[in-house]
Amino acid sequence: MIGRTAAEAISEGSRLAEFSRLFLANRSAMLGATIVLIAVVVALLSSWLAPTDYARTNMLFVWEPPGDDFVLGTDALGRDVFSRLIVGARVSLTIALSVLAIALTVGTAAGMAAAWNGGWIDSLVMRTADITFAFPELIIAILVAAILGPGILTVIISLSLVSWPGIARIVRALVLTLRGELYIDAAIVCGTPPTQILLRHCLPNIVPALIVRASVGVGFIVMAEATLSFLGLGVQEPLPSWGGMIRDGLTALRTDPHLSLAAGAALGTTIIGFNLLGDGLRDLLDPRIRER
Amino acid sequence: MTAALELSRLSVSFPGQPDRLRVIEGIDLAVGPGEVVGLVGESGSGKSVTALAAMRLLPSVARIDAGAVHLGGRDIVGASRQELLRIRGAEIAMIFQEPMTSLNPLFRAGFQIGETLEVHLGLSRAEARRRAIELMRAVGIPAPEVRVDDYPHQLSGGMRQRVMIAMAMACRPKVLIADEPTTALDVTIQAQILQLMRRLREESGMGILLITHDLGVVAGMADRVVVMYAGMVMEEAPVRSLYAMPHHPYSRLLLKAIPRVRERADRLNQIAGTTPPASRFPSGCRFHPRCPDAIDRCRMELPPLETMPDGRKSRCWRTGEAGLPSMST
Amino acid sequence: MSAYVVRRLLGLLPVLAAAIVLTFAANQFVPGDPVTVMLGDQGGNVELEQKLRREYGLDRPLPVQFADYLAKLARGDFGLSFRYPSVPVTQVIRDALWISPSLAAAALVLALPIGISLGIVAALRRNTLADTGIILVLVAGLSIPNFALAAFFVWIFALKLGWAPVAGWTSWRHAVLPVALLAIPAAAYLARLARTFMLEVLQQDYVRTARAKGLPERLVVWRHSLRNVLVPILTVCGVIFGTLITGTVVIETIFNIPGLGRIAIDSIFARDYPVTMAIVMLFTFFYAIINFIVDVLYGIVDPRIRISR
Repeated sequence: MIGRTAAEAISEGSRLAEFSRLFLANRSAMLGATIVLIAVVVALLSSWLAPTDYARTNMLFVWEPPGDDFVLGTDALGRDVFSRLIVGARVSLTIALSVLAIALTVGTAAGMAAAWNGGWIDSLVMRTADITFAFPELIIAILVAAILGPGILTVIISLSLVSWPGIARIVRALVLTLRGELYIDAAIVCGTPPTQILLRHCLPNIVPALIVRASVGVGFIVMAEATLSFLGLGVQEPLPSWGGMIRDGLTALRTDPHLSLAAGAALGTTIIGFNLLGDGLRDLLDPRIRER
Repeated sequence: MTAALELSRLSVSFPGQPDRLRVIEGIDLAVGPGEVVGLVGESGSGKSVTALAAMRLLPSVARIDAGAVHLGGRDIVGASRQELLRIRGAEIAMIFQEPMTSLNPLFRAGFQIGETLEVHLGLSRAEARRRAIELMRAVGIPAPEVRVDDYPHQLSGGMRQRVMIAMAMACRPKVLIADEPTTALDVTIQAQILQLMRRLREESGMGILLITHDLGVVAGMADRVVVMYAGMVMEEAPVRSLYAMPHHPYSRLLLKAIPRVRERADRLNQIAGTTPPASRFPSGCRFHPRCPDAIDRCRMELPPLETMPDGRKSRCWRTGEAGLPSMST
Repeated sequence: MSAYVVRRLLGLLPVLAAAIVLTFAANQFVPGDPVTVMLGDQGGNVELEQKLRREYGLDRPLPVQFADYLAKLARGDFGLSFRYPSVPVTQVIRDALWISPSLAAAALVLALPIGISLGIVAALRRNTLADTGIILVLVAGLSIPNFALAAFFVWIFALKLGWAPVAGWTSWRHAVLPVALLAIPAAAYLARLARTFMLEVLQQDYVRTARAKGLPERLVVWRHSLRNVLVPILTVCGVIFGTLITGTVVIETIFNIPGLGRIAIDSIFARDYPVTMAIVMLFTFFYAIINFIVDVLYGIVDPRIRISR
């Protein structure tokens, strides 16, 4: 790669400064970032933060209301709701991260292959994407669940299945426009192998778009995981998931609403956080919107 | 004789960091009845802001800081929203650069012309349609009875601009502002549209403010020319005398930049540098950083727009001096 | 126009074909032999096993089974249920068939006017407190999942205030909370789109032309801008309907409504694959049909599509 000149490095630095300034000034994005940061810290430190073992049942303290002994009460098996919420954050974010990693890798690879090679590879990738889009997301999840049975694997596979085509489309469009750039032509003329051109020259240019796409997508993935777990197709007992906790709490909503409401609040707040952050990043990084 | 449209000492600002940005400053400009005034300058010189200010169509963030816009002798800067609605489209009309996007894609051409008549003259839908057909015929659209029901995407670029002109002419306005009316069109179509505007001017006696960066268009159309640079008027003169002998160095360089057919065009003459954005207007004469004739005084003091003995106006400390670098070819 | 309709109709075929192939393939991949599942404790009964295999057509080669599957689908026959031996799938789902689409349609009808007017108000009051307030409400409406919101709504409106029944499906009042819960994210999504499109449309040259003509703001907004906002909104209605109809899966489970969505979930846990696949097919079919209708409407609203292509 051509070495960057000092001027370019400076402009890069000031662009970062400009970005930080705009981001810090965007109040809703900052609120989102704060929520996400808290969720991530809670997930990372869940083993230390949880007051009790999330799976320990205690038949003497079933459906305890929130109070001194149990901050958020207990569930039908006498398990501490607060501890389960905290571990639920880890479960939820781990699944979201896995889906994101798979979808980004597969989507980027497929999109690049489609754009670079054209021809039947392009047709194959894009038609597969089209057909995936023609199915409602939950239907794909139901199909996968019917084949694999309920579980975390089902969640990860079905959500990756519905997430990669969107990324592939974006990557393909971006690589197609990049192909027209002079420095790509130069690299081709120099005999640089395609994979190297794609990874070294194209990838850095599409990273901002991928960051935007990913940050907007996390909220959706967290929500979809919770939905599947709520339906019983996702995370299985005794591992806690916010979706499953809401379902467990619904049966006792009349007498003990604390389980559903606490899990609902945690889930809702987290997704709001991701969406606020994603919207903020998109507004800042998407040049088309920034122009206006 | 009162001018059909007269801007006096008009200044407009937009929000900026840290202070508001003056994008046009003390503009003086008058268009008499039946007169065509060319407003010339590079992009970013404030031509379009001037035009929108005259229509009172500036975006809501913009503010008219000072000055007046006289339309038929009365100042419309203080006019109420209701008054402005009565004036726009009736007394002063405007056509735009992009006939492609300036028409609403979801409404028929005839309807969009007739709408003006419905609003201003209270015509019924059917009457408005009849008048729309007449107007379309008047602007040279063939088979107007058929075309009246076409959607914009079914018309060619030239036809669309004719529709725009028909729409603007509908209520016989006293002033027409034409913002780069031919820039987006093919050369042959350009000539036809200019021809049409000349004819309509003669028939109706309306004044036209023709905004363009194309000095060729101005030469063929305008009676008088106002040259703008960085939000200020630099020179004003009758078209012939300006072309024969421009007073302001900027006008001289602009004229030199026109490619001539007979010259061997080894290279296009360009004016070095670019128009500064409003946040970086220089002190002194705003043109001095690009001016080959600039002296120390130009860097310090802003020259006034001075009226010459022959009635022409120029904003330059060195107007009248002979043998300046910008005069050599 | 008719050529346009025919082409759109042909465009449905690949999707339906994909749905048919996928569901058939899924049937081959599902774990366990359905006949063994059905036999249960009669595992050793060879005669019954062969009878069931014949009855379910499982003793023939795959291509034949596929051809048979196709032929039956063409007649609206989804085969026999596994959970209720010898009962046709159509009978299992017949009563539930219209519940999910009706709920989704009702939610869409509710969400469209609310969402669009909210979005337009926000756009017209851009960068004011009202705009910011609306945007925050919209983000919340989009972010909080149906079932989480359902917990709050049922707790407040059904249990605390007693305004609506908790669950069941016997009167129209049972539809109030489900439809409202379905409509909220849809309205929020529509409002967001309407706001974005309206801001875009207000920047368009033809809006400036309309103002230059001296049209009152009322006509500029509701005639020249709104129609241009509705065109792109219409195109996303299909996607929204798809989300809504799958959203009924969750809502029906919560409110114990005997619709396709709840049956789909029940059938997954009962390993009643023919029922699951039939419902997957039906959802895909509804989704495709609504997208087709949207495309046709799009052609009617936008003359550029109606006439030129």
